[in-house]
Amino acid sequence: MKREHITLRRRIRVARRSPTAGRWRAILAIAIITAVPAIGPRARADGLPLRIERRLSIGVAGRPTALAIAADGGRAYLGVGDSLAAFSARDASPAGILALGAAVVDLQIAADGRHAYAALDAPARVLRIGLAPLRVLATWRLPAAASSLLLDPDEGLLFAASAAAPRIEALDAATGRLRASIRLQDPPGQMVANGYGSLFVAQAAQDRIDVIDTRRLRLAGTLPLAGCGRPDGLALDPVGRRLFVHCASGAVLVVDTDVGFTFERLPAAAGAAHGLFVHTPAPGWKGAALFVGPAGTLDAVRMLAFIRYVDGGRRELHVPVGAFAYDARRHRLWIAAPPQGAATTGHWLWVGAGPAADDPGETP
Amino acid sequence: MNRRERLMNRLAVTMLILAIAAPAAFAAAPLPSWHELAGRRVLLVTGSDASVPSDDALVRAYLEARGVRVATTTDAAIAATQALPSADLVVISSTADPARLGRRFAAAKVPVFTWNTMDYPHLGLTGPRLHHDYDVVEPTQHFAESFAVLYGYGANVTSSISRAAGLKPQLFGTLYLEPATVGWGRPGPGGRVLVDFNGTPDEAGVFTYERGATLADGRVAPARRVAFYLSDANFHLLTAVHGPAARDPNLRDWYRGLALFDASIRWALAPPPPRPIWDPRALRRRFAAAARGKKLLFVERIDAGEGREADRLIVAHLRAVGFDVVVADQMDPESRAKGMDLVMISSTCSKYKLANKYADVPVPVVSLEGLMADSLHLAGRDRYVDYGEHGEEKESGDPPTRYVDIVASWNEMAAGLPPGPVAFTVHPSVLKWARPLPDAVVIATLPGSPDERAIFGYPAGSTMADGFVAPARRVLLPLDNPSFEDMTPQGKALFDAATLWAISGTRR
Repeated sequence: MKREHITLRRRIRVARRSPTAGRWRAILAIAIITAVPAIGPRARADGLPLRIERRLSIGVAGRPTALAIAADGGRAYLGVGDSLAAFSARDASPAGILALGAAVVDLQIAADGRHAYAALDAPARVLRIGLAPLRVLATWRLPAAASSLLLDPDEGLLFAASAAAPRIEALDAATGRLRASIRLQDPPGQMVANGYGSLFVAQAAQDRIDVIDTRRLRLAGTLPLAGCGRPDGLALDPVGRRLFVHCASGAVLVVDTDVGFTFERLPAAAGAAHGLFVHTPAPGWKGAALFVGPAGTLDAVRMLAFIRYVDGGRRELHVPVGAFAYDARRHRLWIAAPPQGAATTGHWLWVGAGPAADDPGETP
Repeated sequence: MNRRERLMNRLAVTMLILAIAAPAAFAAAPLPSWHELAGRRVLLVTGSDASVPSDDALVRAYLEARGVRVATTTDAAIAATQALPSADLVVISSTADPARLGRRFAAAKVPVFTWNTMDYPHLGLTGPRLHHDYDVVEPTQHFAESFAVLYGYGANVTSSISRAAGLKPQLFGTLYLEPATVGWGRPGPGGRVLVDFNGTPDEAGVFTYERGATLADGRVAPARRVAFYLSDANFHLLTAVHGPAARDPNLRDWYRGLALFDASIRWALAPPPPRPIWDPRALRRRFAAAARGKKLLFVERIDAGEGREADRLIVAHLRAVGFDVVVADQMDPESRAKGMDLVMISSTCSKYKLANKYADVPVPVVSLEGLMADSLHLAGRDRYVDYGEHGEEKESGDPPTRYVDIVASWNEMAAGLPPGPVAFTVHPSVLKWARPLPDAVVIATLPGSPDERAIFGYPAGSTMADGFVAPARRVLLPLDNPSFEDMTPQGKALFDAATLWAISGTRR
């Protein structure tokens, strides 16, 4: 291989010196030009380049319900059973466990990596948790049990949404004080915040997105979603200012959040899904909105440019999904699958652009 | 009655007059709502190849959601049938093959709304020359230009469509921010350009023909026609704004694409104005009723040599109609217009001496002198390009003429005259022309010179040359010095109809 490489370089050098240098350069240019388009279609034809790299036992008994990975890529935290378990994000080895007495519905980690917030279903509580060491720092009551939680670090707010009540509670993230209770027309679906004043809330029953002004803490407007039935999953690219809306009817819409305009409609698996946006999930990919369905489907929207998005492909995971999160440092999607059959512990699925696991079964 | 009561009475009378006059301030009739149009039948003509990516289904869904009944047919089906399906509106998608459609819809007596740019010449909407009379900009061949056409300009702000869509004389976003495929056309003088690209009305993105307007191919539009800048698969990219941004008026004004489409469809479905009938006596009665008691300032060069008799005859005619005519010299100050209902500028006036007077008076102005087109902001400033004359020795390469070519027979300013050439004067004479901006309604051109518009009017609020906004109606009627006594009955009717139109609007 090395010799061939040297030979080629020598040939090129010779070509540059020779009277036929122009012809050689032309041939080289043509070869490059023809090679570039060949890479494009082949990459697309391969479909989603994210595959299951590893399957690992979670090692903690119980059903996984919420997952978050620290921004520094050091720890993964999983709500499993009635506990919060910490894992090394490098190899998924256990790093601690904290009994909470109730199932964690959703989990958020502060940007500094020192604190987390966990929403408990019964009783309706939000816990402020210290992560090093793992301990509960404060317990805050909620008017209704939360179904999802979102931390807006720029505003120092914690938003708690209830699937049973048409409102969102805004709590002070430092003190737990209820800052506002924002009334909506219907119970909210997934929430995402852009970090500069807007919280987007899926309104599945209304086929629209509600926009909450996070500074004034009130409804600022709605975004209609033509051709989208039951929007449930959201992913936000705050840099490109794009909101990706997964529609249970089987589509993903790409919305310009600045003007609330849907400019792209792409196919997706029908059924519920939640989403997240990631940068460079695979070589050659600038970004992707990933939507994971509870039945084990992974849909991707590939970002080619800020104004160009295409169907990134789909992968069947063949397991139900309890919770998922993305390790941006290692470009790895963590999926926590609940125990199946008689098993008491579930599985981790690591999904990334690396080589696929040789053994489709468990590789602890 | 004390002073306070008198003041209150005066105020009440003023309010009453304003209330009666206010509707007339709108030159264009408001468009019907979708509710009023519910049940109308739309025939959507598409291509036959279903594998071609298109937004035709989205267009259909959009229209059906607004209550109209949409039937879809294909270009192949149209080509194969003798009788066209009946409908209240034909909508032609760019997916249809223009070669298959041919001239099938050219004579359709129902309105046609099309974004099939390559089909424009078949419909007579533009001339036949690709790249000159019409063109399609698309990213493969014109990548840079395909971004430029994301910016349209509100060339017309006074038409019904413009008002309904909230179009303003400024740039707006035509399609969402992707390299776009759009079509443009260069309509004939009977067309009205609403949106243009690249700063020139010759590249019109949206343009219309009223029923009875003269098409670019010289035929007469049998019903309304609308040409729109869309292409196969970008209906879904027509701009709109939602959410918090929709509260910002500047953003609302920018994202007007979908509103423009919506208003254009409603205009096409709306009933056109009744056809004016050639009836000089009835016109005279209407003119007299409108003129009665109105004050008219007639600005002339007093004791002008050549035109003295013509000015005397014009003033006598206006007084006979019922105007209270005050004669002013060209050197009198503009303040003479104060309290007047109309200013008419005689062609005996020297442009040089009149200076820039009467350009911004807040009452209607009728100019009988075409060479003042630039000083009155009726047209641009390039003499013999933006305005000029036929028949003047040493100043024109064209011989004197006695005809004008009616291109807007539908408009009341055309006095019910039929489309085509009309004898304006008995003998060949000097006739002036100008090239107004798209807000003007062009009534007549000079024969054989469709770009040289002889009679036109700007509604109040129009964007005129130099960005000037018309404070009241403005009319150009080219009546050279000795011509009044030489006018044909048709010419005199045009004079009356144009003057009647000028005083029928109110101030802005």
